[in-house]
Parts: sequence; structure tokens; C-alpha cells
Amino acid sequence: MTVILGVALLALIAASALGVVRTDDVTCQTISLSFYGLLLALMFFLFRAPDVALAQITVGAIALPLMVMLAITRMKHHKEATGRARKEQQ
Amino acid sequence: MPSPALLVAVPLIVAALLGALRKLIPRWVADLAAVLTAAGNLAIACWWMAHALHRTQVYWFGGWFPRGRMALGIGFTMDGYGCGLAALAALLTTLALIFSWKHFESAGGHFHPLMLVFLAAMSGFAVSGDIFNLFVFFELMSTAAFALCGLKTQEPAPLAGAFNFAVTNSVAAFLMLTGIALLYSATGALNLAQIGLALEGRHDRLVIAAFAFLTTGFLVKAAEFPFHFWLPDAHSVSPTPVCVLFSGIMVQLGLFGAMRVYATVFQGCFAGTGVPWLFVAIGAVTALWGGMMCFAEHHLKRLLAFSTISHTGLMTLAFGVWTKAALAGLFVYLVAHGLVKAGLFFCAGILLHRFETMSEPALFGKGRSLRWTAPLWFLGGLGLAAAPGFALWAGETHVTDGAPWAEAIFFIAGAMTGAAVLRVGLRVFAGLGDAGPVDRSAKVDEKPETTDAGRRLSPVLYAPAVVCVGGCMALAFWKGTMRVAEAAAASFMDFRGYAHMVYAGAIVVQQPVAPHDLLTRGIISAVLRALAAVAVALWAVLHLRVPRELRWPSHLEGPMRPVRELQSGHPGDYVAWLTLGCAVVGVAALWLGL
Amino acid sequence: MKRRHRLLLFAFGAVGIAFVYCAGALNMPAWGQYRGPYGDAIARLAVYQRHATDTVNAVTYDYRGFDTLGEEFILFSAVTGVMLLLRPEKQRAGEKKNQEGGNPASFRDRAALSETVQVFTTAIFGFSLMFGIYMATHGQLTPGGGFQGGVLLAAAPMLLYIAENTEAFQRIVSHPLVEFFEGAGAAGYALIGIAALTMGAAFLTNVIPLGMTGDVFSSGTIAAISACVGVEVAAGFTLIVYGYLREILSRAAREGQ
Repeated sequence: MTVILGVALLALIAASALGVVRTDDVTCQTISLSFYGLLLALMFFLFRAPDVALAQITVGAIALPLMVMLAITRMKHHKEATGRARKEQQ
Repeated sequence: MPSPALLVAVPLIVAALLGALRKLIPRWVADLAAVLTAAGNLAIACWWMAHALHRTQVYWFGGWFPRGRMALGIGFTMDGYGCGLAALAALLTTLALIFSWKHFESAGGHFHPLMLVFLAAMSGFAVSGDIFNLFVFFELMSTAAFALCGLKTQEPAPLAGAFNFAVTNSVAAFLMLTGIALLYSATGALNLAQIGLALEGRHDRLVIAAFAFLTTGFLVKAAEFPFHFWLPDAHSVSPTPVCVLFSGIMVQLGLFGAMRVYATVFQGCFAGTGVPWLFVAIGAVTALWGGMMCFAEHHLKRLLAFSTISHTGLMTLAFGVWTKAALAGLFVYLVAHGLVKAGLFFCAGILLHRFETMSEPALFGKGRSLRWTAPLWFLGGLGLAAAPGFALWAGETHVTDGAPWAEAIFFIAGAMTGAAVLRVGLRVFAGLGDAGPVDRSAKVDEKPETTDAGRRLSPVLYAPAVVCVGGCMALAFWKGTMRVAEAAAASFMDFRGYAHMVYAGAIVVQQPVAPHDLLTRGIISAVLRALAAVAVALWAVLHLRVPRELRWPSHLEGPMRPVRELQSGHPGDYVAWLTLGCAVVGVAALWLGL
Repeated sequence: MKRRHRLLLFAFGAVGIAFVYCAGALNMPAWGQYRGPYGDAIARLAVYQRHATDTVNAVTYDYRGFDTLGEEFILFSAVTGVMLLLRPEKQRAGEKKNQEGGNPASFRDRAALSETVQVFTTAIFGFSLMFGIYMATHGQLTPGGGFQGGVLLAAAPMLLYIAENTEAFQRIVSHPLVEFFEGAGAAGYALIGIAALTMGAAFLTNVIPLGMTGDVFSSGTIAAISACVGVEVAAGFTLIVYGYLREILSRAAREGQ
């Protein structure tokens, strides 16, 4: 039973990893990355590693997507600011 | 007896405190604290070097002594080789911090904590006896290095170098972790001695796959062909003190990691197989490739970076020879190269401080006023060519003693890198010939890294370079150099002794017999090599005055376009090469090892 | 190199690596075959030797505590690196001050935020703080520990950001003490190790009385280190958030005036 469950979960993880890579929009990609992190946490839990699962939830599903979102926000902001400055110079 | 833990703990604590209080403490306090900490590390590492040479010891953190054969905690194994490298790391860090005293931009106080974390990681990496602990320090070293690499990025464009560095080295870390996981699944152990004993010389496909992944991971750090692409990019954006540590010790520590794991885990598995030849092949290709690219380069830091690749390739070759004499020679070569390369980078830093450029054509003839930098630079160039009077020569002689066929590779790589450095010296300090070709890399714009660039040259800028070049020459003339190296190599290779030491606490290392005098034999080739380096350099500089058909060195300098295009700056390319290289290492190891 | 060539090169490499990996993995123990003598030994020893009911934390903070010290400083140097790369323009030498002026962009879409979200996120702010502290202090008893607790603590201010309580959020993340706590937490871990040295034991030896198994104040240095890690991680993540949002926040503050 655990074998089937484990293999199914691993297949799901592989599929969702592919999904993360194939998503084009960065914001959507971040959300799918968060989902992928959650699946990993589930896997750790299934393999009887609750400590790692907790760390995976906090980091993989919260902290990492948060960092990516922050970076995206900052990049957008930076682009807008430099674009405006360039316009004014012209 | 100073606790080995202090090598790691003290720099970390000082780094954390400097980071916590960075807005409150003045610059000179940070400078002083960092230099004193690094010097303290140097003292502890030297003390251990002196004692561990005769009596290697294990130090169990948390007092967790092994139960039977099972290591419960993490152990440091203090032996001559590891302590020697820890001492070199501490020495170079001390000098780099002295070089950056007051002048150097500290990036809002972030510079000193990162340097100290870097030092702690290197020290821990050098003496750790636990494979996962090695990985942790590998990562710590990388994280600090990425940040230091991006220290003076005022624009997004130079960030690319740091980014490529981070991407390739993270892939390397993944490969290493895969290797560690495979080994753990086979042995249930993380302690190097315990893994080695558990494998009992088995060399099935699992062990070989683990070997391939671990070795590739380490060789990426060691910048071996075709994993080397990140190194020149990282060097051209890094500030000088960081370049010194990258080229002088970090890259060689990558090789040392591969050596340590090979000596403890895989030595028994691959005894009698052709696997060590893998290192010989990789090293030889890297040495020649690096030498060629070094000569073709016109950006001073990138040129020195390619020379580091070439020389680390030679060290990898020496590792593949795997005899006691070769490992002793490798040890001397590593230390001597670290000193010479650091000296050359310090000289480059002085040029950058004074003239705010790193491009050879732009510096043409400008260095005439620098009376002190010029001799240091030329001595450094001769040192890279392993001329007599430099410790590289002694190291090389011992490596080629058991492997005379390696002499040709040492000759070509040494002469090429030496010639490249001497060529730059002739153009910059003597103003000979013309300014040389202008290519893409020579046009790379270098931002000043010091706060008072172009002004007075203070003695703190010179002192480190003098210490480095002088130290390398002193090592060649000190009688004990080879004896120390032979003792370190003997205990490094002896896995039975290592395992016994880990479980028994400490063992007395048998003193090797006095090494025979090889220097008279090696002196002829060393003189020839130095002369060849000078000749090629002069040839390249004065190419217009020699007959047309004899102008090949200057052709080597210019048009190697397709080869240089490989250094594209695209991280995807580098990872593609890395993947291919890892596959080749794996398939070759399966072929040689099974 | 052209994209096609790169992919081709990578494909060859990837196939080779897959081959080597599969060749190795086929020699691995079969699925579900547990061969970890270390795990068995630790499970037997940890409660007895360290009075810690969560053996994983006994391993991470005691048996292999030295690794965790290294990992702690990986986070420390990563945070320092982020702060270094994201330092504001004026701190960078040799660079003119970035052009300012013009209409500062609104960094968030103000229109669409329901009251439900606002009330709910504010309500679970307190809960999140409590849960973070609980997790950081109970690592020796139940799964969790300083690292996980620290991340939860750092996530709490983000709830304020979602609830658009920008002022409170900014006051928390831009507080100068955050940086101090980040360094102090990291140094605290190593200092606990040094404390053992001064008592003549090996570095990171558990020298604090172990207490009663199952008590909050049990397992000696494990609890103390866990608390230090919690402080460091919480402050570190907060610092990263601040580093990213610093310029945007100051712009928003100007916009609000």
C-alpha cells in the first residue's frame, strides 16, 4: 500500500515539477512552485519525517515563493523607475 | 593545546558580532578585529600543523566518541595536509584583510563578516572528517563567496559573473549531495573512515556512481575542464582581496575535497584499477587549456584566473599520479602556487588602485613609475613558470620524479602561464613593444574598488605582495619544506592509519626517510622553462621585429576566436558543459572501475 | 552558443548522468528496506542520553550540532549577501544618487481588498506569533524547532502587509534591532559551544543540566540552541524582506504624505 501511495505521490511531484517549469507567467509560476513545495512536504510526511515536512512547509511553500514574489515586485518596480527616469531625460 | 573548534568558532563569532553591530563600530575596529581573528587562526593552524605532522588526531564535537565502529557525532581529523591548508587559508585571509585596510570599500560593513565566514568555512573544510560536514562547509564557502563576488557590483551587468558562479556551484552541490545520499544508502554512515571501512573495497556500480557525482561536485569548485567556465567570470567581477582567496586557496580546496574523499572512501575500492588515470587526464587537459587561454587573455584578473585553472590542472594531474612523492610535491606546489598567485593578484590590485583599469592595452607603459610593483610582478611571473628559487619548482620535481611523462605538461603549462604574466609585465612596467591587441575581454570596464583610488600608495598595499612572493622563495630554500610535505603526504595516503586514528583518538606518524635530493635533476628543466617563458613573452611583445614566419606567439594572443567564444558568459552554456562533463566522468569511471 | 546547440549538449550530458545514476541506484537497497543503523542507535539513545523526546532535534542540535552551526551561518551569510546586493544606491561608492522624482508608482493595487481578508489576517497575526514561539521553544519535545519556528515568526509581519497595515509592517521590519538580533542569534549558537570549551569539555558539549524528560526546560543546550536559531532565522528572514521592500516602502511612505 505504501509503495503504491509513495510511487503515486512521486509521480505527482514529478508532474508538478514539470508544471512549474512549463508555466510561462512568473507570478503563476511562483504559485505553482508553492504547490510543488507543499507536495514535497506531503512526501516527507508520508516517509515519516515530520520535522523535515515542517521545515519544507515553512521554507518550500512559504519562504521561497515569498522571496521570489518579492524579487519580482522589486524588479517590476525597478523597471518602472528607470523607465520613468529615461522618459524624463528625453 | 588550542581546540581545533576555535578554527571555525572564533571567526564565526567575530563575523556575527561585526554583522550585528556594523552600523555602530568604526571602520578601524572592524579592520583590526578581522585581521586579529585571521591572524589568530593562522597561529592555531600553524600550531596544529607542527603537532599533527607527527601525531595525527581526531577531535569529536560535543564529546560524541564513536560507539564501536559507529560515529555518533562529527569529527575533525587534524593531519598535516589539512592543517597546512587551513594555515594557508588563514595566511592569505590575513594578508587580504591587511591589503584592504582602510582603503578598500567595505560595502556598508558587510565585507568583514563575509570574509571571516569564508575563512571559517575554508578552515573547517580543510580538517573535517565527515562527508556531510564537508558538504556543509562547501556550501558555507560558496554562500560567502557568492556574496563577496557581488561586493562591488554597482551595475547589473557585472552581476552576471557572480550569478554564473552561483548557478554552476549550486549544480555542483546538488551532484555532491546525490553522491553522499548514494553512499549513505550503501553504508549508513557519514564519517569518512566509517564509510571507507564499510565499503571494504567494494566497487560496484553504486560506489562508482557515488564517486562520479562527488568528484564532479568537487572538481567544479576546483575549476577543472570542462567545469571551469565560471572561474574567469567570477574573477573579473570580484574585488582584489576576494580574488586572492578564490585563486590562492578556494579552488585548490575543491581539489583537496576530492582528494580527501578519494583517500578515505574510494582508495580501497579503486586500488589497482585505472580510476586515478581519470584525474591525470582531466588535469592534463585543464593544464594545457588553461595555459592557452591564459596567454590569449588581456584582462589582468582574467589572465591570472586562467593561470589558476592551468596550475590547478597540474595539481589534479599530480593527484592522479597518487604516489607519496607526487602528493608531497602537490602539497608544496599548492602552497607555493597560492602564495605566488596571491602576490600577483595583490600587484594587480595595486595597478587597479592606481590606474583604475585592468586592461593590458590601457595599462601599456603606465607602470614605469611603480618601482616596487614591477620586480614583484616579474618575480611572480618567473614563479609561475616554476623557475629555480621558487618552491613550485621543488614541488614539480617531486611530482615528475615518479611520472617523467608529466614533465612535458608541466613544462608547457608553466611556460605559457609564466610567459603571459611576463608579457603583461614587459608591456605595463617596461613599456616594450606596442600596446597589444584590444579584444572584448580587455575592454571590460573595471570599477575602482578603493575609496581613494589613484592617490597615494600606502605600504599596506605592498606588504602582502612582498610577504607572498618572499614566502614562496623562502620555502624553496628552507631545508624542511620537503620533509614536512613528505610526512604530510605519507599520513594523508595511509587510510588504515587514518581509520585507526579516528577510532583510537590519535596515532604517531612514522617519520619518512630523508628525501633524496632531486633538485639537481630538476634544475635543468626548470631553467629551460624559465628561459622559455621569458623568450615567449619577449617574442609576443616584440612581434613586429621578428621574421613573419616566427610570429606565432602573437598569433596565439589574438585570433583564437572560436575557442574563446566558449567562454560565453551564459550560465546555460556552463551548466550544459557541466552536465556533459559529469556524464563523461561517470561513464569513464564505470569503464575504468568495474 | 546557439540555443539548439546548448540543448543538444545538455541532452547528451543528461542522458549520461541518468545512465550513471540509474546504474548506481539499481544497487541500492530495495524500496522500504531500512538500513540505517545510525537511526536505530539514535532512537534508542537520544531520550536516555539527552532527555529529548524529538530525536531529530537531538541529532540536529546535539549529536550533529556542528553541522547545524554551519547551516546557521549559511543563512547568516546568505542574508548578509542579500543585504549587500540590495543596499540602497547612496551607500554605493562612486555612484551618483539614483534619479528620483516623477510620480512614484503605487506599489500595490489599493482597490481590491476585502474586509474579510483584512480582519482575518490581522486576527491570525497573533496566532502566528504564538505558534512560532511555541515551535521554537518546543523543538526538543515535538517536531519543529528553532528553524521552523523562526520562519513562522518572520511570516507574521507579512500578514500585516497583506492586511495593508503598511505602517505597522514597516515599523517592524525596518527596526534597527532586527539586524542586531540576526547577528546575536548566530553568535549565540557558537558562544554556547564555546561555553562548553571553557568548562573543559569539547566544543558544543551539552553542559546545561538536562532536566526532566518531557519538560519545556529539558534537554540542556538543545533548547537553548533552538531558541538562538529561532531568533536568528526570524530576524534573518525579516531582514531579507526588508532588503527587498526597502526602496518600495520608502517610496510608498512619500506617496502617503
